[in-house]
Amino acid sequence: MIEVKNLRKVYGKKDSTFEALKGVNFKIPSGATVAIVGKSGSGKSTLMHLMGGLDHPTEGEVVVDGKSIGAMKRKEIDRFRAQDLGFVFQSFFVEGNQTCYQNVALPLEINETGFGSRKKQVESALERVELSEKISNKAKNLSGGQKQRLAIARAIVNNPKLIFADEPTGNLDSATGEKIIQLLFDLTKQNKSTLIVVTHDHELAARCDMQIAIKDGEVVSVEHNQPRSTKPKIARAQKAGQL
Amino acid sequence: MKFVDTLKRSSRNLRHSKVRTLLTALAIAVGGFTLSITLAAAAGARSYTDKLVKANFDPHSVFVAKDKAFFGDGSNKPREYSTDLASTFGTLLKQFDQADIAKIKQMPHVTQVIANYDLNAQFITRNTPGAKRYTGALTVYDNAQKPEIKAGKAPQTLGDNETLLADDYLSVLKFSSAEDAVGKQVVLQVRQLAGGATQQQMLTVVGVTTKSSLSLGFVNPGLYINETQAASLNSFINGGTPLAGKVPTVVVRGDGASPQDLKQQMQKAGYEARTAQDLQQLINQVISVLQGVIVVFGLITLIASFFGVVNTQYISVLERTREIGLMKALGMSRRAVSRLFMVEATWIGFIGAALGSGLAIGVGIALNPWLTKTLNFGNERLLIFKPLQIIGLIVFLMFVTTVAGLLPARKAAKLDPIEALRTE
Repeated sequence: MIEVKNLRKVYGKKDSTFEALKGVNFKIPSGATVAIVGKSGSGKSTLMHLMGGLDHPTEGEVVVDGKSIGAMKRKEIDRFRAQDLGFVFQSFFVEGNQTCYQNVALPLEINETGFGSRKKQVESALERVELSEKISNKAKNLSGGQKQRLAIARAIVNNPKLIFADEPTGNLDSATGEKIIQLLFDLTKQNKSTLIVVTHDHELAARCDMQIAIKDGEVVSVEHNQPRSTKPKIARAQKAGQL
Repeated sequence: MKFVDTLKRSSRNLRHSKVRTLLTALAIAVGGFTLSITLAAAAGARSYTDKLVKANFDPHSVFVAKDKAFFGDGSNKPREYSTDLASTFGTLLKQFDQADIAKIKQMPHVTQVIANYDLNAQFITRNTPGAKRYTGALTVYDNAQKPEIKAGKAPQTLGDNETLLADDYLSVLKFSSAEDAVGKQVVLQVRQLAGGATQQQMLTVVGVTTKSSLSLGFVNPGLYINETQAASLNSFINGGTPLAGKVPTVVVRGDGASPQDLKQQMQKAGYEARTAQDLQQLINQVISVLQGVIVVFGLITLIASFFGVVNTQYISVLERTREIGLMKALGMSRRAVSRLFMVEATWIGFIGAALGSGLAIGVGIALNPWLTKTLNFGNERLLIFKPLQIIGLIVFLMFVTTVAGLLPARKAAKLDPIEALRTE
C-alpha cells in the first residue's frame, strides 16, 4: 500500500517560486498497476521523484507499507531504493559500453548481493525479457526495444516491491512499445509488484488498474478500471486509431 | 557496493577510456621514473661508499689527528702559532710528536698505534744501468688496510728491506709484468731537508699493489715501507727541522673495545678522532643532500601530475553524469559513488607508478654496464633497485592520486540524481 498524503512541492526561493504539486492525495493498493497521466509540466515527474525518494517534498508525505519516506535518513532511502524499487526510463539509461550482464548486475552490486546468487538472478531476469542469448553482448549493439527490455531486466532483477516506469514507450515505435508494455505488465503481475507508469499515453493508461490524472499540480481524477482483460490485439488497433 | 565490485567497475571504466587513462598515468609515470632512478642511484652510491670505506679503512681502527683542522673544521681565521704546527699535505697542521704517540700507547684499551709518517722519496729507481728516476710517496704499511695485490703477497708485516710497489711504476721502471717485479730490487733515495745529504736503500719487492676501483684517490702510494723504517727515514729527512719526529695522523686499534669508545677516549685526551663509521656517515650525508635535491624535482613533477589527475577525474565525472545519476537513483550511497571514483584515481596512480618504475628498472638494467664503465666503478652497480623501495614508491604514488581523486569524487557523490538523469 502506497499512501500519498497532502503532497506539496515548491521549487525556487522567495519571489520566484513555482508550485509543482499543490497538495496531492491518493492511495495505491499493493500489486496494482497505476498510470499517472498528465501533460508535460503537469507535475507527474515530480510526483514520481517524490514517491521514489529521489526528492524531498516541501510538505506532506509518501508512506510505503506504513513507512514514511520523508522520515527516513539518507542511508535508509538509499537502501529502500536499492531493495524495493526498480526504475525504467524513457531513454533507457543502459550503459552502452557494458555487457547486458554487467548492466543487469548493477542493482545487485549496489545491494551487495552475494556472488553465488548474483549470476542466477541476472540470468533469470534476462531470460524473462528474452535476452538470454545477448548476455555477453555490449548494450550499445542492441536495438531500442532490446535496450528497454534490458532496462526492464535491470528493474526486476532484485524483485522490487515497486517499479516506476517513466514514459517507457516514449522512444519506441508503437509495435515495440506494445510489446514492452505487455512485458512490464506480465512481469509485475508475476512478481506481485506494484507498477507505476508515468505517461501521457491515454491508451496505455486505460490498460492499468488505476489511472491518476494530474493537471497543474493537482489530481483531477482517480479512476479504477475494470480488471484488465483487454487483449493486446484490440489494444493495438485502438492505439493505431488514437495516434 | 562491495569493494571487489568497486575495483572491477573502476578498472572497467578506465579501460573504456584507454587513451585518457594512459596519458594521465604517463604524467604520474614521469614522477615515478625520476623518483625510482633517484632512489636507485642513492642506494647504489651508498652501497658503493660502504664498500669504499670498508676497503680503505679498517672498521676496527680509529683515525686520530692532533689538529681539528685535519678533518676540516671550516675555519678560515688566522691560526695561533704553536710549536706543534707543521706543513703536511700542503696545510699547516698541529702534528703528533713522539711524546704524544708514547702517551697514546699508554692509554687503556690501546693495543696498537701506527704512525702515518708523511714522507716522500727524492726518487725511486732500479739498480740497472740507465734506469730513470721517479718521484713517489712513501706510505706506512698497515696490513689491516688491505691494499689490493696484483702479484706477490700482502704480508702480515713488512721486513726492513722489503716493500710493496704500486703497479703505476711497473712500466716506467721497465718491469715486463707484475710477476716480474716480485723478488726484484728497487732503489729508494731520500734527501735531508736541512743539510742536503742523501741516503739510498735497496728494497726487495714482495708484492705489487694496484689501485682498485674502490681505492680513494687522495693517496697515491709509491712504495709501502714498515713503520720502523718510516720512523728512521723521517728523522733522517726532517732532522734539524720542526718536522723531525712529527706525525700528522695515527691509526689506533684497541683490545676489543668498540671504535666509538676509543674515539671518545682520544677526544678526552684532546685529539680529534674518526671511526670508519664516521667517515661513511660523512660521505652518506653528501649523498643524501644530492638525493634530496633530485627528490624535490621529482616531487615538483608529481605536483603537476596531481593536478592532471584532478582534471581527468573531473572530466570523467562530467562525462558520466548520467551514469552516476542512474547509480544514485538505483540506491547507490554517496560513499559508494565517491569510493568508485577514488579507486579509479588510485588505479591511475598504480598504472603510472608501475609504468614509471618499470621503465626506470629497464633503463637501469640497460645503462648499468655503461655507467659503471664510464664512472670506473669496477664491479659495482650505480643503480640498485630495492624491491621494498619500489613497492613503497608505488604505494606512495597511489596515495597521491587517491588524494587527487578526492575532489572529483566528492562532486560525483553530491550529484543530484534527478538533475543528472535530465542530462541527455
